[in-house]
Amino acid sequence: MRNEKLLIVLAIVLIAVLFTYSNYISEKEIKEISPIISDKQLESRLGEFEKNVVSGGPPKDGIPPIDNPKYVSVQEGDKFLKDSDVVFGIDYKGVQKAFPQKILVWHEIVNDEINGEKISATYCPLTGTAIGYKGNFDGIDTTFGTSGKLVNSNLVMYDRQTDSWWPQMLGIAITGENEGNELEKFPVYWTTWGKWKAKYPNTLVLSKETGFIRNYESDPYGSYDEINTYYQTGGSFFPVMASSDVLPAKEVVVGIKLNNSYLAIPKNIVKERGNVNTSISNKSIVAIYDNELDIVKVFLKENGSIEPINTHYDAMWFAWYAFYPQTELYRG
Amino acid sequence: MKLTFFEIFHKIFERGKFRFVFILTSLIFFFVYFFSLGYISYFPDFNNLTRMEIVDDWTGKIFRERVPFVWEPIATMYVLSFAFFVSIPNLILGILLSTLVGLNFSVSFFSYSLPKICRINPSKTLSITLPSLLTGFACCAPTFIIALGSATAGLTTLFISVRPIFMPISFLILTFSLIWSLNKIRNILQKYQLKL
Repeated sequence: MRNEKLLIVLAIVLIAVLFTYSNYISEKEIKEISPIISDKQLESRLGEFEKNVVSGGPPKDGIPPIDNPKYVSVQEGDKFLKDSDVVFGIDYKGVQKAFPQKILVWHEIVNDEINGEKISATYCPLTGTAIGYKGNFDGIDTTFGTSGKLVNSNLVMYDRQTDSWWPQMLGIAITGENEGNELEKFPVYWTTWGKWKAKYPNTLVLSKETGFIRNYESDPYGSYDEINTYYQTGGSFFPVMASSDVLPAKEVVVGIKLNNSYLAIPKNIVKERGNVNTSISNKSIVAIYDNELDIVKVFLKENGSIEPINTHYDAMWFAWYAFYPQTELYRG
Repeated sequence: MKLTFFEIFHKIFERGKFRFVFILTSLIFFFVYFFSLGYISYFPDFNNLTRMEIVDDWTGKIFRERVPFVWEPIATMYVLSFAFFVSIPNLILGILLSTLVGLNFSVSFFSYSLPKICRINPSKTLSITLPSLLTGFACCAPTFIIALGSATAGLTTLFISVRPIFMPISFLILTFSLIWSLNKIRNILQKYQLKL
């Protein structure tokens, strides 16, 4: 009996020591930055991002990217997708492809090639961001892997040419040979299978033959069809560099970056009104709700014409604010 | 003459009911362990008899780690409405762990057939299996943390940093517990000159 009590006491002491150690490590590594940033140059903050990288648990490519994607037709896709299933659609150089969220939640990156050009479709479940990147910069072609690390709860990718780290939401390398380089984005549309195939009946869709075994019918975080899972409620699982309770943490915002200015527009506002006219970096823009795909597109209004801004993406408010605490927020 | 552990095991497994306890508890733990990894799935719409599918390039994946002590599955075995993801290293780990769990339980239950002073409470064995069942990991966070929700976000970094030691600690605790139990039984029997 005495031995058992001693074991229990030892276990409690061990847990307390580990907890204290972990908090010490957290405090050492995670430094909250003031939301008032006098220097708005993102490039000057790269060192801060690097210091706040934490382990997500897996080793490099422990979350395996899909490097040899296989695609099937709409008819085959209908066998494993419901119309309400979330897909990330791309329409790139005349080729339409859909990437089911239920597959990408297990892989986060698909490295593909379209008309000889390397591209990567990326998705981070924890920040609700789906972003397309071209795999060419400075004349070098590359593919991306998952580093197993996170910053502001967001996936940190690495490029396989130089091993530099690229937080998915930044698209700028924060370490390595490519530090400071920025990847070129292309639009990825967060929509549903039913809407996507209705608009693009000849689309291809990523198949479940990924080369890995996963239960693609199960999303470990919850569901976009339900209302009380990680995707809708609660906060971040991992520490963030800055936080704001102006909006609920998981509220979806359309995040726009133009020059060195940042603007977040709650997606629901655009959806309710149909369009929102505002400005960023002293330039007029309009965010338009596209009912066909249930997406928001953003355009720059200049000299009587409108030009699409392809660098915006949907994100959870907490994540957008964590990366860009100097952001303006459209309140209507 | 001092009783050996082998003699104690021999006495235990002579009796059908303790063999049953060993097999039952080992099997239950084996399935719970694989369920905690996410390697057992239920598909109510499926109704296969039995079939197996092996991934391409399985030799390149067999030792590929997803997180510490969880390796990529290389095959799926379908039985009725269940799918079992087969990872060879996790299979070996699972067999070793469940054997230790089964032995611990059967020794505990055996101790109840001896004088009261020898008894070892089986609920203690249940509690020491817990660390090995917390090694499951979804894509970006431990499944244990996801299940509890983001209210436990403060624990995430802690859990990730200590998680790699759960498996070695489980082995140590289960082995230590087994040796301690056998030693207790042996010492008391010899002290009071009791026979098995």
